Amino acid sequence: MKGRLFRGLSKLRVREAIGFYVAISPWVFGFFAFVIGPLIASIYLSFTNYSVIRPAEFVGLRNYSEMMHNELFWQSLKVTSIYTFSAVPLHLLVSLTVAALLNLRIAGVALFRTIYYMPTVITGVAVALLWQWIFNPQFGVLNFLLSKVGIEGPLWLGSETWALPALIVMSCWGVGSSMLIFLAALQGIPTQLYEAAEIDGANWWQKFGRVTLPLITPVIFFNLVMGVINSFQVFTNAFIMTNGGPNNATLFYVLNLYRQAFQFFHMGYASALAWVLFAIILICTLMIIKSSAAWVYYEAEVKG
Amino acid sequence: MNAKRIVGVALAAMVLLSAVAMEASAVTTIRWTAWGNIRRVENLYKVIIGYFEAAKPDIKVTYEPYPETEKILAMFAAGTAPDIILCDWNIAQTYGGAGRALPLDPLIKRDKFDLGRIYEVALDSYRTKGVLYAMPFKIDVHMLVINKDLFDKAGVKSPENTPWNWAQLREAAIKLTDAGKKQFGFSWYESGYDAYSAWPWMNGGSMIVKEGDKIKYTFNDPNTVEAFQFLADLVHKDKAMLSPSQATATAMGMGGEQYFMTGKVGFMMSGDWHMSAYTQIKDFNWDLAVMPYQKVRAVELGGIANLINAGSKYKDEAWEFLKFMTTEKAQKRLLETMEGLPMIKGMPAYDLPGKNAKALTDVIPYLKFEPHFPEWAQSSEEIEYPLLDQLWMGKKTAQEVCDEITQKGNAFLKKVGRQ
Repeated sequence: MKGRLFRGLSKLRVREAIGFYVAISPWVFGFFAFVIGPLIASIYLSFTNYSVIRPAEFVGLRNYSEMMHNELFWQSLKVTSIYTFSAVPLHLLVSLTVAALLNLRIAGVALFRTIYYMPTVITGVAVALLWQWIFNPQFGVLNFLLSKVGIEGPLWLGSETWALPALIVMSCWGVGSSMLIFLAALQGIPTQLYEAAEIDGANWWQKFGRVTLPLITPVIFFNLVMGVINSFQVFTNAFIMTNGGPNNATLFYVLNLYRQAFQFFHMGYASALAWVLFAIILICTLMIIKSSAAWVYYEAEVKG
Repeated sequence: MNAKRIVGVALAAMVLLSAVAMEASAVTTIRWTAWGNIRRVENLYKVIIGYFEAAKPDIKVTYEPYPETEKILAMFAAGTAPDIILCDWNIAQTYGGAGRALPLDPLIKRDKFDLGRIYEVALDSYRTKGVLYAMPFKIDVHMLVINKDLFDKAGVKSPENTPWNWAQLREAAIKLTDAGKKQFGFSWYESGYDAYSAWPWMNGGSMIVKEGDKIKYTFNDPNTVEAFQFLADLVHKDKAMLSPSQATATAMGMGGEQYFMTGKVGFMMSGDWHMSAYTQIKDFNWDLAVMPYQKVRAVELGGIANLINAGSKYKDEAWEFLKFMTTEKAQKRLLETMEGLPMIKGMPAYDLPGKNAKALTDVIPYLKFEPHFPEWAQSSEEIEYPLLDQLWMGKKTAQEVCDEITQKGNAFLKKVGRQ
């Protein structure tokens, strides 16, 4: 057996291979026990009626057909899509702008970089509670500032119209990490390219559009893919701040999934929801990857 | 030291150790999980555990913080769920119906445990098909908490223990409203079912009824529609009540409570378990009054109970602890900590010098609850709340909202096999 497995390998290489497998075995075990195992279980559960406290009962495709006829499924998909297609571009724009500003050679820029990254360190429930106060219609700082310029602010999270936009604006709180990646990319652009452009008489905008942007497209691509994946999975803020309301205006996909699983004990239906979400994210990501051939430039590649 | 002596000492030590071990093994340890903030855990749960362990030295109780629902479910699946689990009626009937909660009736019969000491309505709320799945731990009631300074300024007299009817409540709410100061006459401490359920009942209406084994949504009962329209008019026409839109409440952290605590509300519907927060108020004088009525008096029964894990190895010990929690000594601790009202009869109200604490106990005869069914958690979250949001936001009339809830609710009940 040993002969087959390690055929053609020297004694040293065999030892090395054994060492390798021993060293990664905890990870392999963890991967099968805690990732692959639950994944397979959840595929199976998505075809069952399962409340955890009772044994699972096989129901075929019923959970999936139920989903197609459930108005809350469609509502949650709508809310999540609106969120993704507005928050992700906004996110990219804001993080790139901030990164460009922080890339300027001015005094104290290191301090600003720290300050702008700081919000990213604080996450989750604490941020949700903080923004809840910012958006508070009566005591919140946002409506206070609006009132100073003569605008009576809306109810924000209490308004069917404004609750989702409020959460979209709030998502910019976490731009720090993508900003950092952009900043690294901006610093990686060779200065000779700018010098060459200047010699050719390019102004700031031309330099940005013809040199900077093409060179950081791989990073835009990365941030776009990660942004889309994360946005489809957004949960905490709606759970803490609006509980999906008012009138389901902020019923995100994962919030609906959470309720089905842990509030209503529909573990089978929730598993089906999770797999549909996986398919949606996969398709979106593949589409972005497919499109990247047209707009992502690697190294000195020339397009068009 | 020679070898003989060493052996002798070792033998003596072993005898001593095994005696200690035997002593230790005579003590049974049971696990209890219950939710609550640190104050409740330290001052109520752990103190009651202390009383119990002093009374029954052979049983030890370990308190465990209440985990996420998913963890409890996983613990049940793995057979490691705690012996005793704190619950509300919804959890009790879910676990009871799935055979995870121990039916208590056989134990009650065996020990000739006197249920007559306990409020019947509280016991009833934990029965499913006649089987008692949990022992009430406390009951909770609603009351009005009033800002006395605003009342005096507006010349409004507290109803104290003579309930207002709706017309009187409306008149007072309007008088106590000051739009310029963003001050509302009336508000609720929260906006969910616990806040709205009593209002249709006060008007002789119902929202859900049970006919034999079948459950029916009855929001379109004219009395129920009238009740919701009365509330909506208070919000939108009179602008005398803070909108209870679920999201508005959530978005404000604590809903109406925050307004009341900052002196921006005349009177608020709240619950006894919030009392320790009100005792901290320094900026204005406050008092308590009974809940209003219209055609009848009705107040929603609140409270929590404990169930025994049907898979527990120590059912008898767990039952001993459940019984102990109904003793006067344990129940008195609720009053001392103001965490809820005793579920046994004949106990006083909170000790609140100078306040009308009787507003809490006076309503006990009028406590009621709606027929329970396991899928209620879903139908309330998916049907009642979003539609009522539209009423509180002024987008639809009570008639439209109640009709839609009835129609969607009954379609839902049919689908899950309750009709």
